[in-house]
Amino acid sequence: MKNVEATSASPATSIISGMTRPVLMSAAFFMVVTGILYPLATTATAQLLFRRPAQGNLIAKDGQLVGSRLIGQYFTQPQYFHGRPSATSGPNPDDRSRMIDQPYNAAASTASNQGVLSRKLLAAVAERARIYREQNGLAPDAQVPVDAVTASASGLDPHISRANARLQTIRVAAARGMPEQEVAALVERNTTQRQFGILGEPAVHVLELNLALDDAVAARPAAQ
Amino acid sequence: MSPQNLCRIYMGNTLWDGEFTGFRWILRRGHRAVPFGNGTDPQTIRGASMWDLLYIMLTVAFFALATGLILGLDRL
Amino acid sequence: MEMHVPDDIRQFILQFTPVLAIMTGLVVIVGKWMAHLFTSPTHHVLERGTYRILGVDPAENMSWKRYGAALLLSNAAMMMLGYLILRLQRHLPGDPLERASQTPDLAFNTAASFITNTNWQSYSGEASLSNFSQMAVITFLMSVSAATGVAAAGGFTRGLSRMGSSGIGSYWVDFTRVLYRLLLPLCFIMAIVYVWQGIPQTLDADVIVTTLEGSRQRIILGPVASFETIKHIGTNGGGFFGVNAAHPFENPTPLTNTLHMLGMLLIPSALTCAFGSMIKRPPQGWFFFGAFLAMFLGFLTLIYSAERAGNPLLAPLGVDQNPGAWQGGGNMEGKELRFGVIQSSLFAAVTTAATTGSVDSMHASYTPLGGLALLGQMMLNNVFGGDGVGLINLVAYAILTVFLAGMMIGRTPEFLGRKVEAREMKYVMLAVLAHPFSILGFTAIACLAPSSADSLANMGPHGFSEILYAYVSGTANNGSAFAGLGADTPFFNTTIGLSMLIGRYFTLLPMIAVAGVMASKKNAPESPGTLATATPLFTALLISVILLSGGLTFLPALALGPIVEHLLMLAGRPF
Repeated sequence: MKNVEATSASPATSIISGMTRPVLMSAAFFMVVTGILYPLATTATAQLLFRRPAQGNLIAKDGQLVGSRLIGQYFTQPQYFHGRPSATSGPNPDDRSRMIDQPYNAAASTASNQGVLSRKLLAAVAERARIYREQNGLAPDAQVPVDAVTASASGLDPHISRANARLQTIRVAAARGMPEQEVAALVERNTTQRQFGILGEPAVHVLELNLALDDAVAARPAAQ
Repeated sequence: MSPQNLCRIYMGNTLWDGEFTGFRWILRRGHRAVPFGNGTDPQTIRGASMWDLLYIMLTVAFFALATGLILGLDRL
Repeated sequence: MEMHVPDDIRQFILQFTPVLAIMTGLVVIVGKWMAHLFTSPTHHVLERGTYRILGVDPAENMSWKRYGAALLLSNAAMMMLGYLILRLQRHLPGDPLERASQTPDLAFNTAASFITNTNWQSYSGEASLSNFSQMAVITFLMSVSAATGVAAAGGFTRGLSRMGSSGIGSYWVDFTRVLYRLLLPLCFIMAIVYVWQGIPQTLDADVIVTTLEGSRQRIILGPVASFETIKHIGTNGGGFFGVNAAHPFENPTPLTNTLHMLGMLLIPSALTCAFGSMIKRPPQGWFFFGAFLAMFLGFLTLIYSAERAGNPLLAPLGVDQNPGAWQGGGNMEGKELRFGVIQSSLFAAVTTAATTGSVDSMHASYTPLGGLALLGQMMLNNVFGGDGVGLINLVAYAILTVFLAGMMIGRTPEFLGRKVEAREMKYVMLAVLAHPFSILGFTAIACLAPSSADSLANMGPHGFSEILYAYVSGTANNGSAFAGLGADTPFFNTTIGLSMLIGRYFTLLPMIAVAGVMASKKNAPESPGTLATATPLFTALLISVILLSGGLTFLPALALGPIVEHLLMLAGRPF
């Protein structure tokens, strides 16, 4: 084994002698390699091979961008299926220094971060459950699916559970004047099963389901 | 940790109104040691340079300490 | 079958088994590859060019001190560079959203966080960083901090594999090879798979869409896929977006969730095999892998069972948390539906074990026992552990175990054919003690600081847990958070920043010293009295020492946080 330990110089200087250049160069050089070349090379390849997902899986309808397939939207109208509660907020349009609740704000993802014992959480869940039962014509003591009354992690969750979609079907069908079975069939069609039959949970894709509902209504007069 | 402070965290009120003086002291001294600027607002150039100097000094001090650890370990 | 296994538990086993199987398979392949890259005498052409640019001699056999100094000082320079860019962000062109520079305390915290492989974030990614900063600061520091950790493990293992040598190899060679032969190729390929699954990779900053109900939605885009790969393979964990890997753009499908987990486990688990191979005792590597896995399975079970049971306080409100054919159920506050409780619990267990800190669900909203298990894995800091440092921490405990066993049977302890003497025991103790010292010390200071209470989102024991979690996460270089804590204050930014630096370098440098000292020792021939370390008995002893010392150190703090909270939850007492 080659022994390069300097014995003549004082121990402290031999330890860091000749190190100024490699230390400074390593910072600058590897910044360029890992911070610029690597992401740019990846971007170029990704844009070439998978342009649509690389740009965020955007959905266009009648020449207008209506959303991203992956990002949930805030639905309040009765003829649409509603997504999960969202804890995101945004600046008040009237007074930009103040933040107000702004569900599904895709520029500021956030969660409630409330612990299980939090009174705030319990009050919020009780209120959401009350509204959910009211909107969907359920008995005041009816059980509601947990995903319908708890805020998602991202505030942008694009999915709801099948239990949640099932309970909303009657309302949506009534609001649209569509037969319930037809709405239920669309729910089934926009449900993704576990990936490869194993991974994750079965999930109903709210935005795609609502788009399909709009399309079905638009297509009906032509079909009749 | 004193019982009062645990109490404060648990109850969410300030039973103990003292300042954590050590940290404030360092900030004040660090501030005085710098000849320019008296603003502590990091958004102003003068305030920013004071804070920048403080954090750069802190970083240098830490890495100097760690280098000292390397040099001094075999005397442990 | 006589025993009835509930359907959701069967699902859990089904979803976990592929992760375990693929990880174990990769341990062999990647482990052999790493052993090769740490020992191969030939330098590739790109590497030779790099050494010329850096101005280093790749044949230099550095003493542990020189190796440690090169690691430390290059990290210092990289951290400074990151700090500068974050402070100058507003003045750099190319960001259509014109995001402001980070404040000095925040920039210090961010730079310290990413150079130490912690990735604690006091900021929210999409709101405060330009695409240039996401690449040139965050992706850069994530890559080099991971390479630093793996290189250190290489130098450390090489030291333990040598006898009568004055050096442990060249830091520059280890660092460059880890980056060129391992991290960058893996990350590049994985990033393309990620884009295919739906993770964006673009230089565009945002896009504005009109929703079906007619409102405007601004969707933030960026080079996310290249960020996600190094974040997980490098056990980094910082989010491109505020909610990290819970964001549908960071983690669109259960497949990406699984690949994230495999990425996090890849290097920490494979290093056991590389270790065994380099010290020419392959069984030792497997027994270390076994120790990692046994602890991991214990924590995972605790987390999943707690989350599956849900929040008992929601039951009186008429909330159905039961798993069944129509819903996954469980404690869904702060979780994404596509992952459900199963993928979320798995991810949480992996991210706190491998000290990544990436989250696909909000740890603050976990049940108290789930949160306790997450804290516990970070407190032990060697249930797989971060890239490189996890193995080094485990070996520190192995040496401690050999020493304790030696005390009990009254013999000079030996490890890997070398006598373990007072000097290296002092270094090991320094490394082992720096960790709780930083966690408990800073937590105590933060509890004393009057401003802390203003940062808490939750009061009561959960508020204490938020503070404790912050310093555990910082010191363990994990980076996940009980995100209720509003940590972007000068006090938290500075103290958490310091805890990350102490947790990184004051545990790593003494262990490199141990490797240097062990490399210089002569062989101590094995005798009948030697305690064999590649046995199930020793592995069990090792796990007991880790759990006992971790338990004794941290139990009082846990009792004030999650344990009280659990009891209050059972009593149905909200806060």
